[in-house]
Amino acid sequence: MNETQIRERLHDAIGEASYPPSLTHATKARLRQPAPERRPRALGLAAAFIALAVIAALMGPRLLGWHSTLPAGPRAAPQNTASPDIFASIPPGDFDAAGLTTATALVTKFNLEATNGQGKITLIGAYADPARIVLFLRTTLDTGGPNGPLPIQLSDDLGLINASSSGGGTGLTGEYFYSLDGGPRPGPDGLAHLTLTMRGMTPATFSLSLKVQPSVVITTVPRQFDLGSWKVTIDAAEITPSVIHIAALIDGASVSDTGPSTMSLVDASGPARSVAYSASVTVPKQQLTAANYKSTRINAQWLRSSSASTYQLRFTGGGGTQTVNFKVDAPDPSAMLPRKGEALGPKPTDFPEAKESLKLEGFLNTTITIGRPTACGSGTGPSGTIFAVAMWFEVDGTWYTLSFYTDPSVRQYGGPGTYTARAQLYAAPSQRLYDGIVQLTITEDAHRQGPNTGSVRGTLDRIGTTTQASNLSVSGTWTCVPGMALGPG
Amino acid sequence: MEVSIAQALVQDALAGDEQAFMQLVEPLLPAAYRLAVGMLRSDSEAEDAVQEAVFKAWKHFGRFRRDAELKPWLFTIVANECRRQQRSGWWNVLKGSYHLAGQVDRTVPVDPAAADLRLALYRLPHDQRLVLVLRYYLDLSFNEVARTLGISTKAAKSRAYRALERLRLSPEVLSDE
Repeated sequence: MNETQIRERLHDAIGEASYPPSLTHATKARLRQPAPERRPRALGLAAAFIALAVIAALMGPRLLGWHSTLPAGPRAAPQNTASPDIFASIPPGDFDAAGLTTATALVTKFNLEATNGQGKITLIGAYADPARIVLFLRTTLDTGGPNGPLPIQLSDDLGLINASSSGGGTGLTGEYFYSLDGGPRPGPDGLAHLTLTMRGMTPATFSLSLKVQPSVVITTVPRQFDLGSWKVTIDAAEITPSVIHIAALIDGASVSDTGPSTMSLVDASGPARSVAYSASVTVPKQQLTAANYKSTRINAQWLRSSSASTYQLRFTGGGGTQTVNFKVDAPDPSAMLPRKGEALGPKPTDFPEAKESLKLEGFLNTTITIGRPTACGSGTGPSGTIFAVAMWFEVDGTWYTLSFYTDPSVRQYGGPGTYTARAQLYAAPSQRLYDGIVQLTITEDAHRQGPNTGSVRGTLDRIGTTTQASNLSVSGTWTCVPGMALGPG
Repeated sequence: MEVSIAQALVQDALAGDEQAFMQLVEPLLPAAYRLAVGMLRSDSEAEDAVQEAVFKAWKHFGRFRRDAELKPWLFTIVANECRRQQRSGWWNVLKGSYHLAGQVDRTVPVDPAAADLRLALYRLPHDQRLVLVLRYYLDLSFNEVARTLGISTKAAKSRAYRALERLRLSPEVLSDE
C-alpha cells in the first residue's frame, strides 16, 4: 500500500472534521479565565456512581476476572508513627506544595515501589480526609516535563473515586504530589482501603489502608437557599485538617454561568488561597438536555489558615448575593510536626538592608525598595560557577524571600553579563510559591570589595495550587553587599 | 537588525501581550483541532483539548525559545493534552461549550472496514497513533512530525512503519515529504 492509499484509508476512518468557528472565541475566552491549574475530569460523583453501578451489575464477573489478571501489589497498612523524621523521606516543600502544611503529622509514610523498563514510581506518603486524598510520589519515569502526568488512578472499596484532580512537581526533580478533590469512603473498620492503579507498571497496583481524618461541619452555612434566580443546595460545608471544603449543587446555572466568583472565601487578610475548584454538569455529557444542563455541581476547597480565623463565604450569581460568616479554630497543633531548625535560623531583620527597585506584578503587586539580602555574589560548586542573589522583603507584614541564581548548565558564570537564571519566591520560612526562569544581569561584581549591582526580568510560575495568581513577574534593579554570611553557597 | 512580524509578535507575547500570542496561535488552531480530532473520540473532547492546550501554551510561553518553531511546539502541547484527556476517563467538565442532545458530532464512518480501522487506530498506543495522525491526517512531512515528537526523522519513520504494520496497512517505502 502506498502512502496516498494509507492517507485515504485513515481519512475515511477518522472522518472529516470541520473547524468549529466558535472555538477561536472560546479559546480566547479560556485564556482570560484565571482558573487554577486543574486537571478537570470530573463529571460529578452521582454520574460515576450510577455508571459504576450499572457496569458492576452488568459486567461484575468479567470485571473481577480482569482485575485478577493484574499483578498483585503490596498491601500496606497505615503506619501511624508520624514523627519529625517524616521530613527525611518527604521534604517540607512537598507538604507545602500539596497544601498540607497544617497536617504534616497526619501524613502516613509509605515506601512502595513499582517499576517498568523505563523507571519506577515510589509511593512515599498519603493523606486522606472527607474532602481530598493526597499522594506523595517519587518517580524516575520520563513524564514529558516537570509536571507531566503520571499514569495513575485511585479507587476504594466502592470503585473509582471520580473527582477532579491536580498535581505537579514539588520543586525537586522526580518529586510529585497528586491530589484528588474527593475523599475516600471508609470501610467498616474506619479505614479507607485504597487501590492505586499504575498502568504499565509492575506491580500494577498498590493497596493501602489509610485513616480518613475527621472533619467538622460548618453549621452556619444554610443547607438550601435561593440565590437570585438560582437555587443552591449545600452538599458539604466542612473544615478538614487541611482545607475548608464547600460543595454545592446549583439549580438554574449552567457550568459557564458559574466561575470562581460564584463561591468565594475571604478572611481578614483577603481571599483565601484556593486549593481546588471545579464546576461540572450532573449527568454525562451525552445525556445533557436543554433541561438538565442548567444544573451545576461546584466543589471548592481553600487552604485553611495556620491560625484561628474568621471567614466570609460569599455566593454570587443568578442576580443575587448571599454571605455567611463563620469562625475556624487554629489547626490542632498536634497535627503539625516541628520542622528541624525552623525556629533556630536567623530572622530577616538580622540581615542588613540594601536598596532595591524591583517591581513585582501578579501574586504580589508591589515595588521592593528595601531588601535584606541573604545571598550575594559568585561561587563555585560541583555543577560549576554560579552567581546568586537572594533577599528577604516584607509586604503588608509578611516576609518573603526572592532568590535568583544563574544556571550553570546553560552558561557558567564568568563575570558581569546577562545570564539565564532560576528564580524562586518563598513565603517564610520554607513555602515555595513561585518558580521560573528569568534573565539576570550582573552589572557590577565587586568580588567582595563593594556592592554588587544588576537587573532582572522574567516571570515565575505558581507552584501547585495553593496560591491564586498563576504568575509573578519581576523586573527592575537590585543591589547587594557581599559579606561573610552572604556567599551564594 | 530587521525583525520579522512573527519575531516581533513572539517578542511581544514573551513580554506578556496576550493579543500577540493569539495572533501567533490563531492560524494554527484549525490544524491543532484536526490533531485533537484524530487523537480523541469526539469533537467536543477535541475542542476541550485545544482550549486547554492553548491555555497551557500561553501560561508557559515564557519557556518558548525565540528561535524555535511555534507549530511543533503547540502541537506537542495539544498531543500531551489529548493524552491527558484519554487518561482522565470518559467524563469531563463541560467548560462552556455545550453539546446538547440532538447535536451530532462528526460523522463516524459507516463503511465497516473504515469503522474497524478507526477502532484499531484508537487501540494503538498514544505515540503510534500520534505519528500516524500527524503524518497522514495532518499531512505533515516526516521532518515536521519528528520536530513535533522531539525525535529524529528516522525514528519518526520507524515509528510510523511499526504503527502501520500494526494496523495491517503494510506500507511501501515511506517518503520524506
